[in-house]
Amino acid sequence: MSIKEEKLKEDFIDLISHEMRTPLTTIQWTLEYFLGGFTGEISPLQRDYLKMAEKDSRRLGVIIDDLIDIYRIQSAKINLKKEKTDILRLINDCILMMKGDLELKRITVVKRASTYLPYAYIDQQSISDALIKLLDNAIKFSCTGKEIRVSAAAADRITISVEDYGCGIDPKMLPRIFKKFEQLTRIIGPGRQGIGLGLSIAKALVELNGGEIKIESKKGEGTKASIAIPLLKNSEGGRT
Amino acid sequence: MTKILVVDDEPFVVKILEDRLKKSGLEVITANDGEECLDKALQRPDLILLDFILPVMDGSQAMIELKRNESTKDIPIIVLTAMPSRDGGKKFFGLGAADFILKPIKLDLLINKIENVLKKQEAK
Ligand SMILES: Nc1ncnc2c1ncn2[C@@H]1O[C@H](COP(=O)(O)OP(=O)(O)O)[C@@H](O)[C@H]1O
Ligand SMILES: [Mg+2]
Repeated sequence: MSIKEEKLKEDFIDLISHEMRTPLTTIQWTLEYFLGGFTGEISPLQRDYLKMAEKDSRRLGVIIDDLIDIYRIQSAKINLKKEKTDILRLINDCILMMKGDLELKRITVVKRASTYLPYAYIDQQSISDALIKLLDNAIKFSCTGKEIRVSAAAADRITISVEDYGCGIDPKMLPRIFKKFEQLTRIIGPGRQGIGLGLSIAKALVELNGGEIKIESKKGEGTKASIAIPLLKNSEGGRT
Repeated sequence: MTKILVVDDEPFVVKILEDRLKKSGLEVITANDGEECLDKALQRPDLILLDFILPVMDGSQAMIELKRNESTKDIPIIVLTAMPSRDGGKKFFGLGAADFILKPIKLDLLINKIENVLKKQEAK
């Protein structure tokens, strides 16, 4: 493909994304406006229906994002901007973004990090996106009221782990979960209702950063997903 | 009363934002394109919510003009667009945006962000 064609295709994807997001926005705002009681009192039945519609509209939003991510990854259209990164800060920001879902399921996040954690050298956007997909799964596949552990440790790389005590995954099925559109269990409830693209996107994003993603799990006990990412080279010092 | 200028070419977007912001006790004026935005900005709103893909004059040109004009250059601008940014909004911040938000965002969250920007502006 010529550079000009590539540019056209890229613009086309942005345009499609824009054209899909615009009506999605007004639909979500309308539902939120009604649910907020700004148009007057609504009955419990009306509330239930509006909530279901709101949830489905968010699901549509995740699907749009995932499809665009997959397209970008496949056409290598992700522009990485690698920089010196404070991983604890990135983890905190990601957890904050999941606040709504965590509250809905009353899940507490326990954070753990080694006292000396050097800087990572990564593209922050893509690693955040990947981590959010892991957090999302941990929340989605945990029971209400449970705990999730997020830890960070450094050796020759920095490893971020997200551990849940949810339903777990059958070891025989484990190799399949990074495949596109693969869903072993479909959970209805808080969390982003995806279409089985989450982990394949996370894997691609982590690998683009020169990192590695790994999932260990025991059926019925829980799951531990880890991302290993490169350190900042010639780092003069880390945080204390 | 705090005055917000809402700029968007989608009439439905403008209508919901106008209604919702008013419910939060804000005064709202609106514009549907970049040129009208410059016009309405002369009424000295406290903040501009600016869509980026706009007819007549697009968002970037409108921002350049707003920042160039002595009487509008200090009005904080939040870019609110459905067009994804490949550089985390760097382009918008480079043009002087106070914040960049990708649609869809929850209305409640949008109001929070507006309040944050207004608070920061007050502290100046
Ligand atoms: N933490 C987890 N606990 C249990 N099962 C999981 C977990 N993470 C992923 N899975 C399984 O792997 C599948 C694929 O995950 P993912 O690619 O994120 O897709 P999605 O979240 O859209 O279902 C899930 O449908 C689920 O069956
Ligand atoms: Mg998922």
